[in-house]
Amino acid sequence: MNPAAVAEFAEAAPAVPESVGRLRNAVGEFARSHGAADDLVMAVQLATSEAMSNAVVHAFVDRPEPGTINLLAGRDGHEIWVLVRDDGSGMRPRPDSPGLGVGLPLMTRTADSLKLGESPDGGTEVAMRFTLITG
Amino acid sequence: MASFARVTPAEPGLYGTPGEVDAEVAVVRAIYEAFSRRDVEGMLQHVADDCVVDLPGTYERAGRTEPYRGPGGVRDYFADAARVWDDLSLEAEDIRAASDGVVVFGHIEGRRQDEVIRRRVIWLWQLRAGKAVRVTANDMGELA
Repeated sequence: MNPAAVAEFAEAAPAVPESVGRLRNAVGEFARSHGAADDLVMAVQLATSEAMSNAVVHAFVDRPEPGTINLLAGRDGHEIWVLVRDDGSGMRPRPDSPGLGVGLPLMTRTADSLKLGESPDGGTEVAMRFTLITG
Repeated sequence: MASFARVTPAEPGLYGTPGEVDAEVAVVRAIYEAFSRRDVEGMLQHVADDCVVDLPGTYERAGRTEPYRGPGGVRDYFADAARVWDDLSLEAEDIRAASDGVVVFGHIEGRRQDEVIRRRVIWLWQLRAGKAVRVTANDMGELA
């Protein structure tokens, strides 16, 4: 599957804190448009905003300017999938930042599946799936 | 003979985490150390009966399509790793605690016939009552 080709929702935004809130609302609306119950909408928003916050805080720490977050979402049968990609330096341990990574277990518990990987731009890709529970 | 793991001393991150995380980090560290000794029984002491071991780098090369499950699955993993790899090391470089689990940044180096891999990996561990219930390895790209 090429996510970019089949995504029903795709938006790119600067990797700055202001983008996180806006995209969090947008992915919530996407989930709601597929009939997701309130609890699921909250789960999608929580996990997605955690992934985006990771990108904002950590992905561009070695760059003079923040890069880009790409948020893709779609539906696959009884699941909603969400991809958060950045074009940063990858998720690497930083001695100066003990917070890096602590949100990942939360995302693991919130999503029905979570996979981390390298994005096409060389940054980080967070792929999440949520079983669709309709309200 | 395959070597399984090497643990680089690292202090757990303590950012915003409750006190019991030290114990969870110790459990995960003990599991990596058990790997390094090729000590299946030692690892099983820290693994829940319903544990899911999602390590696709080995199970896919072993011809499997699903993660390992339970104590039998852990034994299968050790057997597969020894059979599939001529040499395999898992290096845990940075172990970080969170309220819902443990995150391990590291890398693997493996050799199998003509195939040599060096990949950055993030392992995500979930624990319950002091035992691992799930580990997932995430391939983060080529090790520089």
